[in-house]
Amino acid sequence: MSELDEEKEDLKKINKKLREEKEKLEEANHFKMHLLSLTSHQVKTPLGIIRGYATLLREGFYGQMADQQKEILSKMEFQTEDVVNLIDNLIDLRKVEEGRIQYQMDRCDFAQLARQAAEEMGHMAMSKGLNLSFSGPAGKVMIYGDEQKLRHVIQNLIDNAVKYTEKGSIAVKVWEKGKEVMLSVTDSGFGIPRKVIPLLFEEFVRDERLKKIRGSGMGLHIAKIFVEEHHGKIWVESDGEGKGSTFYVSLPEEA
Amino acid sequence: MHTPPLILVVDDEKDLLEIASLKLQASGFAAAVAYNAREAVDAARKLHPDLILMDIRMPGESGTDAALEIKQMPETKDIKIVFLSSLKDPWPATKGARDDVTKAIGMEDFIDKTGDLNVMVAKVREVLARP
Repeated sequence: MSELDEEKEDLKKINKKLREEKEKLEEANHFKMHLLSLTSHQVKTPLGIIRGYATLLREGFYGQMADQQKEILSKMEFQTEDVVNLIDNLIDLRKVEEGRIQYQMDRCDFAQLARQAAEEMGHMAMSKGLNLSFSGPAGKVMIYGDEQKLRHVIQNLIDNAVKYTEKGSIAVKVWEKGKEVMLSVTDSGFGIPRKVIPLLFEEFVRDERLKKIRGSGMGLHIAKIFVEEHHGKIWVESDGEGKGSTFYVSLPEEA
Repeated sequence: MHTPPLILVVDDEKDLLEIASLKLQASGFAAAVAYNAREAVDAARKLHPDLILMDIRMPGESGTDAALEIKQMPETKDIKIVFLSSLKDPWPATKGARDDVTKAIGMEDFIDKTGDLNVMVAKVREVLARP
């Protein structure tokens, strides 16, 4: 056998080995995704039950609760919701990594999406004594996008605003600016130090001061991926600690 | 429509049935429950609810099996069905496939059953108000 033939033979063996390793990795990835999906069902259902009973207890379905008891039940609801969000976010991130996130692009009313999200999450703010308001055009603000992903982005921003605000208010606003549709979520919360702002949308980044506050550091990262897939932008402005913050999303009317 | 609107909740988890039906009753609805797909089809025929909240994964026949049967019977085919799932979005991702599935099983919408109860009530109101 010539030297060239031997090299060809070696290359074939290497190729075969690489193919086998690739198959193993794909299998492992598939197993991880399967495990996550299984976890989603097996863990989220009991969490849903815990959360549901906590809500019923807090709302007085099984007898009146003292304020302190209501407060504790609210914490239980928030904590369980957090684990549920964590599982959902992990699944979303895996899908993004594997290129399996698909976007169902269609015409949708962005103002209506934001209005609905603000209404649905209003009670969450109220349970913390915060006022959540919405303002936007009376008519429709149509854009081309994936309704579910955009709803996820808006809910994430409002959820963060509620989490990181101890007192005051949260304002959700939608308006049109040229050929763009704008959303802002402004809170009177902790504010964000300047050095954290550039990192805020990276995976697993959280403000050190907020370690005691629930959150996985994945929500804003996923929101950024979803917005950028719509050819939009997401950013935050804050005057610093204790001065609240405003998150902005701009989306082209026809992405 | 019944007065108050009658909602049939279908789930194999008895605790979830209790939670959902209590919350619905307190929000101005009447609620009935079924523990599996077979009971759901029977209850749909007997009670003719205004809306069914149907779990997807149940032992034996699934919620989608029950929905298909309900949509095939002339006396129950117009009942609105909203699916309950522990997945954030349990349906096919591509719009074409999604439309096919939702049309085939007669789904109006779906609710994440691990989510906020007030969101569930808001969704029920919204779906009932649809033409």
